[in-house]
Order: sequence, then structure tokens, then C-alpha cells
Amino acid sequence: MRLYGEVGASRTRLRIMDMGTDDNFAIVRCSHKAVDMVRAAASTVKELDGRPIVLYSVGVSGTIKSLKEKIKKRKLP
Amino acid sequence: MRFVDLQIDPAAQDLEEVLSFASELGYTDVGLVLNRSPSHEMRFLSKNADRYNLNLVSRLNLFPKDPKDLLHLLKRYRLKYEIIAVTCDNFKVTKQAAKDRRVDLLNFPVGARPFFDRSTAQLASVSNATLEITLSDLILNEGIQRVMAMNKMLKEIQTARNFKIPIVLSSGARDLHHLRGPGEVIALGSAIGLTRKEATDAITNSPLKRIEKNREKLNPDYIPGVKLIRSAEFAGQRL
Repeated sequence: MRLYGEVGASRTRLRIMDMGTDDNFAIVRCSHKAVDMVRAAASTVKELDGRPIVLYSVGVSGTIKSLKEKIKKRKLP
Repeated sequence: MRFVDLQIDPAAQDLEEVLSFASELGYTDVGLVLNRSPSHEMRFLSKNADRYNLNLVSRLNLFPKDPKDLLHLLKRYRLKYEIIAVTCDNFKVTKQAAKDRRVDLLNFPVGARPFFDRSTAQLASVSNATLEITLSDLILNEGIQRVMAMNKMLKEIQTARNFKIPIVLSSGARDLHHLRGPGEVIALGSAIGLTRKEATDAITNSPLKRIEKNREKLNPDYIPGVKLIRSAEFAGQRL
């Protein structure tokens, strides 16, 4: 079963572009066809290093430039 | 767009934190699971509704042991809560809940035997009940249990679609870490077989329609079968 998960993950073309550790956010790049798949997968992440976390998307955009503008506009916790 | 999470069930001490996070995630309406003696929570609801920019909805989850118990509970609590959900964990209760018009949501726990089959769907299509899918079953389970949960949800969604039963997606959050944003809920809905439009409806139109309809019914001026369009004056008297 794990193999099929990995096949699916390879098709999303997932890459972490930026990681704002202080601001608790990351910019993730993926195929536009796989946005829902990545979002659904991210929402099942429950903990990081033993600490409970909630992953949620602030915005989705076609370019990283406009995405950064979106993040700036939104006050992150 | 108004997004609704109809099932948030936090411990009393976490309530404020959970509500403020729900508002931050973009929800506009939240269904709070209340106890059967809701005086404390009801006071909280009326006091703090505006504070979080949220429209709070009172909800009761019923766990009846038999159909008679269900009828008794509905008679007692229907007029006190805006949303009544029945947890269907035995066959007789499931059939009774599906055909009773006072039941808003039918919830099928993952481990339980009865599921949303054709005969239940047929009864629910007449009584206008809604199928509720609780996403915490998907988020909190892992491995084979998640596979089983997804399989059950896929089947239930297909049956609901065949009988045109509305579907509601709710988080079932018991604390802040179980909450997910509307975008993530829609994505999870797509993963369990809903189209994007159906998943969006399941957290916007379907729950909102149900809330509005029930609020109208709970209004003290409500007369069954009569809708007040506007008030008029007759011989100087306001009617």
C-alpha cells in the first residue's frame, strides 16, 4: 500500500520552496492538478517532533510572487 | 462565502481557544455540541456570539439505545436545539432516525455495524434528513483503520448521491488540533469521493439551509405551513 502512496506523491511534483520557521509557515510547490491532494494530505498531519500541530493553507496561487503578497496581507498567528 | 463546521465538541476550558481558531481559519458558522443540560453553554453562546465573529449554532448529539428512547429524546429536546444529530449505532435506531422529520443529521460511526444503506437512504430522502460525515475519523485514524473509514465514507456518499440526500462535512473537533480549514475540508471531501462542488456545498449551502430552516421553526411566531412575508395594517391596527 505504501508503494501506491509513494507513486501518488511522485505525481504531485511536491517541493518545499521556503520555510519561515519564525512565522510558522512554508511555501510548497506542486502540480496544479494535485493541489487538493496535497491539501488533503497536509490536513492529516497531526504532530511534528511529538508536538501536536495543525497544517492549513493560507493561500494558493499560480506564482510564488503573488503568493508572498497574499501571505504578507494575511496576519499569521 | 459562509463556511460552516457543524460539529465542534471541545472541553469547556478549551472553548474560547477553539472558537477563535475556527474564526481565524475562515469559518463563519459553528455548531457547538452541547450537553443535555445546556444552561451554562447557552448563556455562553448568547454572551459571546459576536466576540469571535462567529454565528454559533446549538447542537445536540443523541445516542439512543432503542427507537422508543429516540422518540422520547426528540420530544424532549427538539424545540431546545437548532441542530439534532443522531448517532446510528444499531439498526432499529437507524431506521427510526431516518424516517423521523425531527432529526437533522444522521451520523454513522466508523466502527459500528449499521451503515448508510439503500433502505435507510430511501427513508431519509422522504424525511429530508442529512448525512453527516465526520472528518475526525479520517484525520485521527491511521493505516488500515483509515482505509476502512475511507471505504465506508465512499460507499455512504455514493448511496446519498443516488437518493439525492444532502451531505454535511464536519470536523468533529474535540480540541483545537482537530480543526481543519475550509480549503482542507473540501480537499478531504474530494479524497472521499465528492466532487469539488459537492464538497463545497457540504460546508456551505447544505448546513446553512438546515440551520435557517430550523431557526425559522424555533421562532415563537412560527406557524406550520404559514410564512410571514410582510406585516400590514388593517383599520389602523398593526397585524
